[in-house]
Amino acid sequence: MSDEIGTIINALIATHAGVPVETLDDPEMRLDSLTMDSLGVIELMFDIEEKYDVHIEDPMQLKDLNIGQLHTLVAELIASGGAKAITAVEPAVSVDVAQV
Amino acid sequence: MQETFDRCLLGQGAIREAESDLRKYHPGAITAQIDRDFSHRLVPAERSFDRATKLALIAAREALADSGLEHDDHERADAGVYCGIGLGGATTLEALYTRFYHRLFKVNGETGNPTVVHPLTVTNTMPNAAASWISIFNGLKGPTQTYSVACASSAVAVGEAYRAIRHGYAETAVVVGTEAMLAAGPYLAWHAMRVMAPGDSQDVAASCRPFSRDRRGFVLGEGAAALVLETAERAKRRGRIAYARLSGYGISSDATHITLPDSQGQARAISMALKESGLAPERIGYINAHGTATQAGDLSETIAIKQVFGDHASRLKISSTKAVHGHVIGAGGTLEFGIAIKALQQQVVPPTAYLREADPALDLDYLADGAESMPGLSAVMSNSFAFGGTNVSLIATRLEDEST
Repeated sequence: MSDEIGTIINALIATHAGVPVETLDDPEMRLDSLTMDSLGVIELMFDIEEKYDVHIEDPMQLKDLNIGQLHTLVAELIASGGAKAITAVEPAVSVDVAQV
Repeated sequence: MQETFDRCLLGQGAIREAESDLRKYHPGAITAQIDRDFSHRLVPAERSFDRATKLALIAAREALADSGLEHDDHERADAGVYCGIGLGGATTLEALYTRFYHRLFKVNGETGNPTVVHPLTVTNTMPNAAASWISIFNGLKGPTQTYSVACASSAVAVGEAYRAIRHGYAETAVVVGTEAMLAAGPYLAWHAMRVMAPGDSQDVAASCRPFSRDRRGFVLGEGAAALVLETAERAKRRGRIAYARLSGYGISSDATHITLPDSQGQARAISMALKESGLAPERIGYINAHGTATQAGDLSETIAIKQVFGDHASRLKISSTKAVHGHVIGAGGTLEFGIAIKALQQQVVPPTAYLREADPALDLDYLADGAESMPGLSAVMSNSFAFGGTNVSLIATRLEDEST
């Protein structure tokens, strides 16, 4: 796992939890100890998925993780090729679409 | 509100060339747009909300701060939030479908990760999102209502909040109108109706010219405006001085056409507001007209005003401030009623900016020559007439005139 992933993920956590990023240095800190409600958690997840082009299957599992485990999970998802799961396509606006 | 009112007095319009994301589809696009990014005025938790909700939160915050309204814990149950919005979640929906077609939709049937759309799309698209967040952030636990009545949305919200207060269902209310639909999809939808004015080749700010001989339609804007209502009894008890008394609300429906205005329906709303206020028509000194600068609309409103006010119509000062702030659809009711109240408070009425030559068929005083001082102005009216045929008229009176 690169430090870069950790830095970026911590910045996203800080944004959604509304805490300074320096308070997130302890990898043992559990995500559910932060003041994030369920909407905050899914927004965090969405931002991580966007950033790394990965898909986190179960959003609720995030609450049971600590920060270090979240870093590892994302690194594993990236390594397992999650990044190729979604490829941007040009908007396929055609007659088919218009008639949907 | 004060800044907006000052600009209305000076006739300094906000209409300008649209941002590039609209002009790439319609090169001549013009709008009355707020700065693209105003996130510095929001707390982090608000930054992923729909744009209309963000604008509503800022407006409500300003209105509440200005009013100094404070609630005891037990009063919160009687504190309502009334909101008007035309197209709820417009920019959120635009983002939803943009992501859907860019990231997920494929003609050959192959698709990708279905969670590529923003997880707050549902709560951001709800038309009641703005009212709900204002209620949540301020602990207002009375009725939380949202009215979507096209161009009359927040005028209806004002009127219904007023009725709720009069009938004892609330003691105070924050009323907000908001609209933010300057995304490509909604903009192009309006453009396709052919009701929007093209940019003026000499001065783009002068593109919307209500009551003018050469009027060409309205210009779509965005924004929010909020008012705080309180019972007279509570205000008195708290030693608070209101800007004005909301003294009349009229609402009618044309039941004729989905877009064409009907002066009969408009006249009924105006008459109902007057009747409720108990004022003689001669007491009204200024009307902030709906005045969208369409051919049919300005004529219809003029006919309605003449029908209700008779001889007094020619003495009325009438202006449409849409020339300055554009047509802000759901936000128009609170914005324009707020402007009328500022006129009452400051005893000066804003002009119809950019009106050089009135349409000969429109023969009332539309304040073509700039702001006019009106010492003694004691009652004002604001009209909002919606697609769908709903007509609303609101009246405010000056409190200083009541002691005599």
